[in-house]
Amino acid sequence: MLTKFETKSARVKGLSFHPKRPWILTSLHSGVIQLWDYRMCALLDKFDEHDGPVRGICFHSQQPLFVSGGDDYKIKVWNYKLRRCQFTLSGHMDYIRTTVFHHEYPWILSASDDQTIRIWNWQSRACVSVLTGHNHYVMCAQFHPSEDLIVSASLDQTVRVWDISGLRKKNVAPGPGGLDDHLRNPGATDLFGQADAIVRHVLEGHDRGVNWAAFHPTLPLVISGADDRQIKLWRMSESKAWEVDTCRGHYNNVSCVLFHPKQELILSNSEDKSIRVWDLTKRTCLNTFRREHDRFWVMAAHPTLGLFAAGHDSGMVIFKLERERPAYSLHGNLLFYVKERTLRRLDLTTSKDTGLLQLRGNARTPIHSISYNPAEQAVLVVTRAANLENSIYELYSVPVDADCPQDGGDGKRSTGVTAIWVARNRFAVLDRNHTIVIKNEKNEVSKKIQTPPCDEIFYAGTGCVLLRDTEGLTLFDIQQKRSAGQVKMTKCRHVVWSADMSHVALLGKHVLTIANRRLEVLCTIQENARLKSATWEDSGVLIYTTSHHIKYSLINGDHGIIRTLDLPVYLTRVKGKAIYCLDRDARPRMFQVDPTEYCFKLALVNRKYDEVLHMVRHAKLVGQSIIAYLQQKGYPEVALHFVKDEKTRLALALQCGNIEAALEAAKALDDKYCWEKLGEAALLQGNHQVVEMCYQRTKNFNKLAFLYLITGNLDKLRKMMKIAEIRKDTSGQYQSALLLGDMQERVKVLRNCGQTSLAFLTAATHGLDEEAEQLQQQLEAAGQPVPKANPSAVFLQPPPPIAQAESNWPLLTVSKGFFDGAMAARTIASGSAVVAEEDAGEPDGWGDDADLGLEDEDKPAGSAGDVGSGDEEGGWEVGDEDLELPSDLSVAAHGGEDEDRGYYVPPTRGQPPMQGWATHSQLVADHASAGSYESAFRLLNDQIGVVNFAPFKPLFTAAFAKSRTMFAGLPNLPSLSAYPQRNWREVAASSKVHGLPALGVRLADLAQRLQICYQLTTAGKFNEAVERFRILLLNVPLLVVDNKEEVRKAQELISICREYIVGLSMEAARKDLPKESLEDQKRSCEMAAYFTHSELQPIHQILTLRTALNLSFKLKNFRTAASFARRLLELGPKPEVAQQTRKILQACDKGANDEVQLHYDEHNPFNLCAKTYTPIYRGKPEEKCPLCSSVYQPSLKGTLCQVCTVAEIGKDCIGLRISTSQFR
Amino acid sequence: MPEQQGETDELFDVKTQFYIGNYQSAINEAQKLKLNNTLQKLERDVFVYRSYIALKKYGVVINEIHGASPQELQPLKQLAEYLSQPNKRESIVLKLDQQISGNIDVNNHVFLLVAATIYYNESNYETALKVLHQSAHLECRALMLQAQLKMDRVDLAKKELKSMQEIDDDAILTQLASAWVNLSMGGEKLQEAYYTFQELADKNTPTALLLNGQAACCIGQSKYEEAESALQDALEKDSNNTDTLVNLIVLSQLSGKTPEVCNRYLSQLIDTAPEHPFAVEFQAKEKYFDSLAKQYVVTA
Repeated sequence: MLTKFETKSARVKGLSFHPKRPWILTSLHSGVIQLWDYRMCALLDKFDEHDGPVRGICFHSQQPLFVSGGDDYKIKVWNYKLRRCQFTLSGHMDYIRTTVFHHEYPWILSASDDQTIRIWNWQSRACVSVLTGHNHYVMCAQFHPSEDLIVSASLDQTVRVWDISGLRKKNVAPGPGGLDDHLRNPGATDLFGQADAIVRHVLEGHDRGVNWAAFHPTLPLVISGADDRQIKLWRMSESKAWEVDTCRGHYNNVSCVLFHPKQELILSNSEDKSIRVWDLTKRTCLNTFRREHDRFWVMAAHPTLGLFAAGHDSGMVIFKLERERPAYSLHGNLLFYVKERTLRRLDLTTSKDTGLLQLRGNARTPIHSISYNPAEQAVLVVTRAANLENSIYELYSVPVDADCPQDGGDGKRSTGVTAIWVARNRFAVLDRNHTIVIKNEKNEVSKKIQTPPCDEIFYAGTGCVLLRDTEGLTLFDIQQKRSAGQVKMTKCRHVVWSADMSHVALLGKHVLTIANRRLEVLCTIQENARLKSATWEDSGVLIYTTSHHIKYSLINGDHGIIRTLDLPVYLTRVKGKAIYCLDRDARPRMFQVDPTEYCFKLALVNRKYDEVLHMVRHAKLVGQSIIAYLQQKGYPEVALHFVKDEKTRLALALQCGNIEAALEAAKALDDKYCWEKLGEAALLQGNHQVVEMCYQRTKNFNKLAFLYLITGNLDKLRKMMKIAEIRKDTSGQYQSALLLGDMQERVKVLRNCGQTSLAFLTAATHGLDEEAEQLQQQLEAAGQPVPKANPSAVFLQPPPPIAQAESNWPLLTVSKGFFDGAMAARTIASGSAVVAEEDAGEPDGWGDDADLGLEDEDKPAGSAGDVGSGDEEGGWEVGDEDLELPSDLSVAAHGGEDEDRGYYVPPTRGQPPMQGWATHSQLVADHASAGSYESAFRLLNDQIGVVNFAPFKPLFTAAFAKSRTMFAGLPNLPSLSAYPQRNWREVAASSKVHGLPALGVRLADLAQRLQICYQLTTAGKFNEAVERFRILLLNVPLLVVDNKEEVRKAQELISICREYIVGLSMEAARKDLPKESLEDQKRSCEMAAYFTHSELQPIHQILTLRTALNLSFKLKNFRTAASFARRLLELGPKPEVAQQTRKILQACDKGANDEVQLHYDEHNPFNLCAKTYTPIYRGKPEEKCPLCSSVYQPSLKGTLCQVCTVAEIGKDCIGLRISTSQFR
Repeated sequence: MPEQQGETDELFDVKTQFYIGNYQSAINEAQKLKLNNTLQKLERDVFVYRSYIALKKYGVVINEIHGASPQELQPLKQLAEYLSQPNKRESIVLKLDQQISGNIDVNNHVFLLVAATIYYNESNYETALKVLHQSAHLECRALMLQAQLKMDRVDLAKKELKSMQEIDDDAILTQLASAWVNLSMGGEKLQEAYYTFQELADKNTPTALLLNGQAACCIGQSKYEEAESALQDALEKDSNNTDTLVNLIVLSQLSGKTPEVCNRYLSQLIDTAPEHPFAVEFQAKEKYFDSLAKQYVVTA
């Protein structure tokens, strides 16, 4: 039993769940009805109008109504929205025991001690039927949830089932004799029709009064509980009803009994202070929950949520029978979870949900948790029993690719409270004695660990666990056997690590603690509702759920609500706006949420102001709350930029000490108070210019004068004196004079304000004899005594300022904040950035008028295969055999006697895998990779007649360089090598397969490089293109391909390269020709003509034809030119080109003759000698290059091929071998 | 370590950092330790000096270890001298030959390790094994295992690994050694090796050493993209790590990059470490190629 909520009150006699909202009504023996929110754990309302105990209570399922019935014989219908009783139904003549609404009709059913059951219509507010028959108190009456039946229980020891179809027909059924008729003459009694309610069954069997009876929601079953301490199960048919079985166990009166709404269970409670759970099919008691002092009186079940409430002597308890948290484990984007005892995998990226494994066990023992191990594809499934000591875990291996759930019968089962993976092949088990055992992937004990006492363990990354004891959590390193951190926290329930393991969220019942890797607490959040689950967003925000909210928290503890929830969900993953979770039925769900708020706060904390700014501009965030937030969290400088209200701006600016901004705001406001505030702030910063302005604006002359004094601004001070004089501020004027050391002025002031004697003294003391004399006369004239000046008086001249403070006090330079810049930029119209496109420049290799357009050509080669299937004979083993050494030699002799040492024979060296590559392959590429150049040379020579190897050098060295990877072993030693092999899977599968080196360049790569060559050709860079084509050509013999099809493609590639190399070389040679003589021009034209016969891409062919056309036209060889023109037009050139060509063709057709005799016959097929660039007409003798099949005049046999530059012309060879399939 | 089993090993972090190639951290960790036990202090010093040697700061070791220093530290000076002065290597090896022909203190594992390291560097794996085979010290076993791998005797290395696992299955050396063996065995074992490296990186920090191990596994399994990211990380941590460069050379070719990319890494490697075995062998192969090419007659 999991207690969700408890209340304390007077004895609870009635209970009713609201079907939709998290509310429950309790009616008390004291006469009060309470309305509770059990999720918020709060009392919502109290209704106190009944006189004496209230026993009947029921929510209406749709209307904001509930009904109550009390010992005051009254049935009251209440509106909880209006918070008052709507009306009272009177008629019963004794205590009312139960009152319930009908789920459909406007009826209330009441059972009373007056031995009657009554049905009331709450719309007409009248009693529609009185059911008599019981001859003692009726303790309980219930409607059937779907049929026209009532069940009642009475102290007369019977349970009665009533048929009320007559009443329904009369009241609510349409048609004659139905509702309409009845409403037309409501007073008429239906004398001959069906009775309103008839007793269908009387169930006798209890020996004492029956307290409660209830229908099964779907089956024809009735359950009853009585003072004979028994619970009886009854089955009924249309015609009869009989007792099925009796549940014995309670040892006092059974107060209430009901069926579980979803499961095959019976729940009962009793005055023996216990609640019992029974198996409906076996009628055995499954569980007993006892209370210390309180007798139980009533019980209610929530229709859908699996919640139950039980009322007892001093309150009420809401509970559920089992955990509803689905067991799940997240690995990357894969969610593993258990639904209906099937382990399922949900790919969160593709939403593909696969059932993987059928888990053993029955539904009675729900799975508590799972722990998934991606490396071993294994899962630990923990099943907790009611008695923790009987908990077990099972270890299953997860099928990698299962389409339907497989039977996981092979799981290894052991006892243990918790089991979690702690390393790739280790897991920790908390056993029933609360010690930790480390086991390996075969479920064998690897070691036992002494730890501080703990009652639960949690995952904490590789090699660590979190131990929970009563006071808190300890991070424990299993290998070092020491604790690496501790945090105080009572009863942590769940632990959620961030993906990078840098932070952890510890979820208690109501307390959320965020800590770092070393368990140093970063923040603690107190929640009112229960914490349910949490998950880390990728940027480091914790998203968590309580029972009714999805919330977020930054690691600094800044938290807030994202959205509300109707039902608890268990978060699995957060990606951007999508929150993935499982609900209580283990259904994966996804919410779309607006992450702006926490993204904003996170950006602030991380000082990513560009993001902040972006959000401010685009997300409509800014409101008073966000400004208040910024201000409160110490970002006044940020807030400053979002505020337009000058008053707030001033306050913010002052807070962050931005005098300039404050000054602007103050100018705009021009309010005395603002200036004063600004003055204070500016004074603190030593910004006396602003201070001066403030004092001026506030007309604070005294302060202003003093400011001038201390800044040494005597001119201004003198002005102040003048102003004071004008303002008749004598004391101000005098003070200024004093500060200035202006004696005459002082005398003047004193005299003017009638202080003649003082004036005299001043004058006398400072030696102003003239004034003194005048004043003395005045005094004497006025008959006043003439004071005597102190002869030793000295003139205190204020020291003259060394320099006038012009500038403000220096402040530390602060680089302009991001916002200053960004906000400033906002005002400036955004300049249009023009990206200057590079002028590609005209390619100059082709004829002057040759416009070039590059189009995509078809790639002539397909993708090369990746793994060859080396099936050759002969063997070298990877190293399993022990060579000729005795088997015991590898075991080092211990002991250390000198004699022993002499016997140690170090093992002979083995054969590196590279050596085997050459032995087991006949392909050049493999020999080159193995570094076996000699054999590779021989192969090349035999296969394709290579005699000049120099061009192959970079390819060979590269092939060799890729043959092994390196990894460091112990320090200060040369690294070890590993040898990547292309057929590593086959080698692993069978020891008969020999490893072959991994492949470097593939056919597809070459095909790609061919495109570059084409581009170079198009751009007219002939020499470079020839080089590239040649490298490409040379790469082919070092390829390894899978099948004959690819061999064909490779050969095709060779011929493409050949055609281009020959053609482009010839074109280059043609350009180098002198052009003066006719002979030269003729030769040039011939070569251009030959070039048109190279098999090039159409785009290039067009160019060759245009060149040839132009040249022959210039030579006035109109007939040949016309043929070129026709060929050109056939290729479909661009419209401009086509137009021009047509013009030329027109001109040619007029001439239709050849001026010069060319050594060129387009109609006679020929091959072109790649060296002499002369045509060899078909049938004439020729020699070919064994590699590239370039054609040569017979005289060139035995020389080096000009095209591939490596092979000997005319050598007799077996041909290119690049696939093992060629050897079969 | 076997002798500390059952109690907390104060030097655990130092050792871990040292073996995963995080030498500066090892030194820092060692300096943080407050040890009372003189034996432990000595052991700490051994690791500190070895870390300095691994960082190629030979001067520190040569200057700080003097005649009065404990017996266990003396071999380290020898090693530092060997590594720092290529011209004196011959004489050092000669001296070492004499030392091992006499009575060796089997319990002075530092000496054994140093001697074996020098022989290993001389590619004299047989003698290295001879020196080591009597010791039960875990690192000596690991070094033996490595030498066996270097001799392409995976079969022996597997046996050695088994005996190491019997001594201490969870020790970092055992884990590393299992990864080396798995890497050398190839096939399905590559993934296991990968996980071992990954686990060590998770538990501590990803070092160039661990990342290269992972990359080697990935390359072996044709997972070139993963290898690429591991190697880029490694390159960021230590741009001069020769293993990283070698692996990048391999990777750039296997993943079909243009020859220029590969050549860049190659010249970087030859620039940074002309004496690196890979560079030496590479250049030897080039010469070999040239000499072979001359044997074929070319008629122009």
